[in-house]
Amino acid sequence: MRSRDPALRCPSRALLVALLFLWGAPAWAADEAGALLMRMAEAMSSQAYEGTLVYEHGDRLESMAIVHGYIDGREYERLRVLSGEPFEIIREGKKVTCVWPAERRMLVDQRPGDLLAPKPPRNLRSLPAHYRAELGGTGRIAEREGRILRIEGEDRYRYGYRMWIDMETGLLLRSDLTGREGMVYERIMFTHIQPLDTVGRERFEPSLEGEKYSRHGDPAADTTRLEDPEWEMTDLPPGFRLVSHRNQAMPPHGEAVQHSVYTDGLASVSIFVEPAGTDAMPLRGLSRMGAVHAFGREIEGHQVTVVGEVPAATVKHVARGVRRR
Amino acid sequence: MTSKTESMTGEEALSALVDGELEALPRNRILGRLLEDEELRARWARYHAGRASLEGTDPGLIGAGFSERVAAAVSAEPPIVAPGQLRGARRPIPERARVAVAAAAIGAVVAVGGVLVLRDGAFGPSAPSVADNDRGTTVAAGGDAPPLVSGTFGDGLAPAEQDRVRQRLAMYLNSHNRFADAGEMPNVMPSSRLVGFNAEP
Repeated sequence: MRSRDPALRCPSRALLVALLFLWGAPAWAADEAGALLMRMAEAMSSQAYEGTLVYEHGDRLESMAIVHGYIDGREYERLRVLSGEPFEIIREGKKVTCVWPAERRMLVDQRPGDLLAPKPPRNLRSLPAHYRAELGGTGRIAEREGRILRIEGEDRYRYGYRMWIDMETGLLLRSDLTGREGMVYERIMFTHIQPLDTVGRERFEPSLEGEKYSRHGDPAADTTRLEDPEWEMTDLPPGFRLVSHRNQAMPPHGEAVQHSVYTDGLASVSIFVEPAGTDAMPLRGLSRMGAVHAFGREIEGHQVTVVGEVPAATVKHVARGVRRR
Repeated sequence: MTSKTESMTGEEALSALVDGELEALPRNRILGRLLEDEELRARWARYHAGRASLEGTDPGLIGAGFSERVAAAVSAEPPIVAPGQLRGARRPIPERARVAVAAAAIGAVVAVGGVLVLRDGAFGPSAPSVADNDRGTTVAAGGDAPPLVSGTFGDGLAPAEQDRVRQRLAMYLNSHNRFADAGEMPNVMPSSRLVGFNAEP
């Protein structure tokens, strides 16, 4: 029987159609994966939801409760640990508040502003360079059906991700941070998640009330944005760009520390530069805590410490590229 | 008096390490030796494979049963409560969560505590690989959990020194995580790290 499709009646045309399809398929699949990632990023910043999740890192497993909302153009999030010593973090736009209820202590901090344009809600227009994404199958997490999205770094300077994204809401249900050999460095997984129609501002009040608590970190006094930092990066891994320079007073010495943040679009790296000799046992060489690597070295009488949720190669590379202007 | 761990032979210590039965100090010592001794590393890898075989588990899936551990950790947890209800609530880590963490530690490749101070080199070669089982298929969300990298190798620092390094590193981590939403990933990731690093060990 002859095909009704005129293109398929001619073998050369059929071959051409097949080739065009094969040529376009990977790009289409990548677009679909990128679109799912963007949908997730948008959903996680703009949707209201609450739930419980577990965070597994190193040999530790913490369970946490989260409530998230977007109120009057500002993103709110409250996350608190459910086991062990009470601790919670509240994000309100760029303000970050850490609360230790048992110690009646509160730390308020504020990002002084990105060098790039502010981006709430998150402005993930495409998959960042140096990553590739593909869709996997489906899996059930927290009683919701999730689509699996795999994101892999194209070089040794970044981890990969395996994400389960709610097919109905676009919310992130689970995320595994993976190394190049497929090893998992940390895992965040919801055990319960509930989309909400609305969420009130009162859900983001800290667990402390009254005046009898110590409050640290006046944002205006402790943090200043640096327009002309004394230290610069001369050699960054591909794809990383500067997003923030600031000076902050850091314990225990209270000296001003230059804190610069770089990102490749998904992962971020912090560089801290402070006078050497303030710590009897400064960080030297490579350390790791779960997925986070740190590398310390001394340069011209200053301690340079690079920290980020990136592979060891990245923090070492960054630390070796720090120079005084 | 000689402690039980101090009187162990190298073989016994290696076996105890694989079984997660080694105390912190001797564990750090043998981890230091593992860094130096390639043959010892190879034996360590064989022991791991052997134990997995004895237990009928795939060495590449050490740490499977993640969902069960998660269930154990969260089953006793209360639902979300309104702000203020937490005040003064100092609850011990539930026993089941402790068991869960212990299970995670046993499933780990090598665990040396919260902060791990490395040498420049990586231990790499004997790390188990992860089954690639999520391509185009429907998978069980928990049972397929690959191993979590939960530790690596000390460089001979005494425990007290390691603790000081840990405290110092925690300050950098806190500051980094407060501002680590510079990327485009959801806040929940840096926030979870921040909460996790400040949680009671």
